[in-house]
Amino acid sequence: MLEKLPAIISIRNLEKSYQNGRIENKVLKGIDLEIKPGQIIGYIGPNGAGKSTTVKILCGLLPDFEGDVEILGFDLRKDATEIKKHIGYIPENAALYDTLTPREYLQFVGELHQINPNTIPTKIEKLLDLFDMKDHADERLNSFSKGMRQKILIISGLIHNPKIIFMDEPLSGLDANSVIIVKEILTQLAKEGKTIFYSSHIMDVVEKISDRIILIDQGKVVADGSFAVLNAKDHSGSLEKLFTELTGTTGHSAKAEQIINAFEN
Amino acid sequence: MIGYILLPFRGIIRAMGVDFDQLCSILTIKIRMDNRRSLSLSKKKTESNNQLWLQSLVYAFLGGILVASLSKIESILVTYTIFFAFIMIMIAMLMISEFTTILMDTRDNNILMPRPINSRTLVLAKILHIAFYMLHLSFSLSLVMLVSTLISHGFVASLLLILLLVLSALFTLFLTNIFYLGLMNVVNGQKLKDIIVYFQIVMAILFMGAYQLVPRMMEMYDLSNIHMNIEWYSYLIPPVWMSAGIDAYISTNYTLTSLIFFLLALFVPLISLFFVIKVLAPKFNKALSQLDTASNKKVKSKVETKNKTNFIDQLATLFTKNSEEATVFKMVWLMSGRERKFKQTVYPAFGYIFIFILMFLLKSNETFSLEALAASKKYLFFIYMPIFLSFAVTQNLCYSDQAKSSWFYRALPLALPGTILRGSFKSGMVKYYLPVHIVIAIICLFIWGYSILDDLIYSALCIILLTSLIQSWQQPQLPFTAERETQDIGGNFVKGILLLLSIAVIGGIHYGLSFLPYSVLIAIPILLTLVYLNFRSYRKITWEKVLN
Repeated sequence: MLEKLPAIISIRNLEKSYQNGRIENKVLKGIDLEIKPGQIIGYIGPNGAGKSTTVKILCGLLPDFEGDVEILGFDLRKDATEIKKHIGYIPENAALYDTLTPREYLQFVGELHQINPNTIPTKIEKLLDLFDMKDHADERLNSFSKGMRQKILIISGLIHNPKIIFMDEPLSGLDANSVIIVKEILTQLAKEGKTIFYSSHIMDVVEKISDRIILIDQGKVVADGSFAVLNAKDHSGSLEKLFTELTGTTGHSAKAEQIINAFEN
Repeated sequence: MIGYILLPFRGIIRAMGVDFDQLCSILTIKIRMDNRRSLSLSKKKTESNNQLWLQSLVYAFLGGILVASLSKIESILVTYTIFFAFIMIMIAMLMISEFTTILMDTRDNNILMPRPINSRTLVLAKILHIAFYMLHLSFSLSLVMLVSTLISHGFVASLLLILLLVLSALFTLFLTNIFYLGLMNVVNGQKLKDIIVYFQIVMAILFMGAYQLVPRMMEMYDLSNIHMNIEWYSYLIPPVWMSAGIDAYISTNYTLTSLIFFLLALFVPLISLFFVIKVLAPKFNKALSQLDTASNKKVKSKVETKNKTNFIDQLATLFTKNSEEATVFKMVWLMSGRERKFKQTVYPAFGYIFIFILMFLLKSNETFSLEALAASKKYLFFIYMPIFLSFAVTQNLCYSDQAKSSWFYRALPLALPGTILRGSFKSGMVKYYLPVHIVIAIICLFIWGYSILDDLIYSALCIILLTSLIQSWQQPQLPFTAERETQDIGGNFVKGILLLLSIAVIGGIHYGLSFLPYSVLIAIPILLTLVYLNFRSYRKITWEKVLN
């Protein structure tokens, strides 16, 4: 059924390099992906694999890339503004305008997304209440804890009811209850037909919520499929084991032993 | 309010392909944040315009000092050339030192870039935000000059001055844009922030220097008859283009030269504005979008040389009593050189010392001569100048950009925090105060001879004793563990007054002792004992007394 649907995100030979003086650091080395609507994609990989770079490119934050990207049928290079109307982005590092209050910040984000100005305050009020942030609505963001800031980021990424949601470690800093709620929200949103691109290295969460897992290492896709399919191939038993096997980082026990020895001697 | 100001231009703005509503939203938020910048942490929402008003007052005061100093000059061309040079340099320097944090706010990459805002709207929002800031700066700086022009030369002259001010601000925008782009091409984000800190330090010193020295220098030299001849190179100096137009109008002397200057003043800034919008601003935005990612992906980090570490090790062994104190000494030595906020607050004190010495030398109306200086007792003033530095260093060592590391000290197996406080104090004094005292001592020895050697040792001990006494009297704070926002401004003022009074007292005692033979030599061992006893008193400080 899903196979018959046209791809909502189509990535062909995506490459990205960072220039540092004369040294070129190639982060993405040719990513090819077709993502169908309503899927929860778990995008995993070790540190420096290129996860955040992929997400930033897809959200239009890094315009300089090689290859072709189409989202909702629009070319990312030509129609980035049109694409951005339908996507939500929740980054890992809670970059917010610290001197504003959540109410002011969310009002601003709502205006930028051209939501009906009359409905924005009601919507903000409701969302802040649901995320247990109503009492802090008029406090400045610079006094917030990491988890509180993350909640504001999540609201700001979803306030305009996007069709595709890009998340880069969205659960970072959230307490256990909030993590459960966000996971539930993701599942519900996927049921409503939203596509979720979830980048993380918390294997447990990815394994539980993702319909499809894409593992990248050193800028290339090294595994792609549902957990059941991937597990059937490798018989690893858990995503964590599968991850370590595919990224070639085995021998953890030996390394741990070496570290302890280094401390003791 | 922004919406109302821009409403008459809505048609043109929309014709440029810019989303008017988004533009107004971005500008409103940006200006609201500017107003709240550097306000103390407040949990409740406070609407205030204080920051911008306060800045305006300071800049207007600075502009006023210049206008007062220029009032003696008869030549209109010279007066306005100096004025426009001042405005352009000040705008450029202030843009770099004060506005960079706003201009290079990489949070925009995560907050604005994922929203459906087209690049034209983003570029225009940035340009208008800068324009607002520049106009605010230039009109604050020129307020006194505008009033003075209105009174002395009439309404049209002041209108012309406003036009020329706008044009000079535009041209300065072009120059600063080129400066930023050039810098961003050669350095990464972190290095850029370091360079900006040095700019801020230079600005702080210039402000103090201009405030203290310029009026004195103006008094000393006869500026009333200065005149300026137009040479070929005058055509290359933008402040001359600006001033020539206003000079022609006021002195009703319309020549071909003044027409050329006026045309240059009019068209060069407009062409440069076009260049900024079409070429520089998009390049700037692109460079900015890669600034934080590029610096995160830094390939090679700076490696500290082994020689430097060896030198610090040797100093630590020389000045500290045990290994724990030596460790803190080395850590504070390294951290103080890397903490931007610390450098920003403390480094200007180096310049202030130089300015105070110059001020003291310029104070006397007689002509400067080394012989007359050597015959005086002015060294007693110079050798106490480094106390401002020792005070600035020790008072700021507790603040940090990332002030959440006090757990580190508390986790250490130390019964009492005195070792940390003593190591930190010694490190700050040896690194910053001692070299300055040595330099001043060498210069004084050169002028006054070896007979003042005892005075130099006496003053150094006095400064160390006074600074450590002030340190131990206040509530102790561990190095680099306090938020700068928690800085007690009122308390600092009181400490500053106490410091000035103490300097007057110890300077007075020293002056008195200088008339009694051998008295300074006798006082040295007494002071040494007091310093030693005060250092010992650090041992009594308990963890409960430490603030953070």
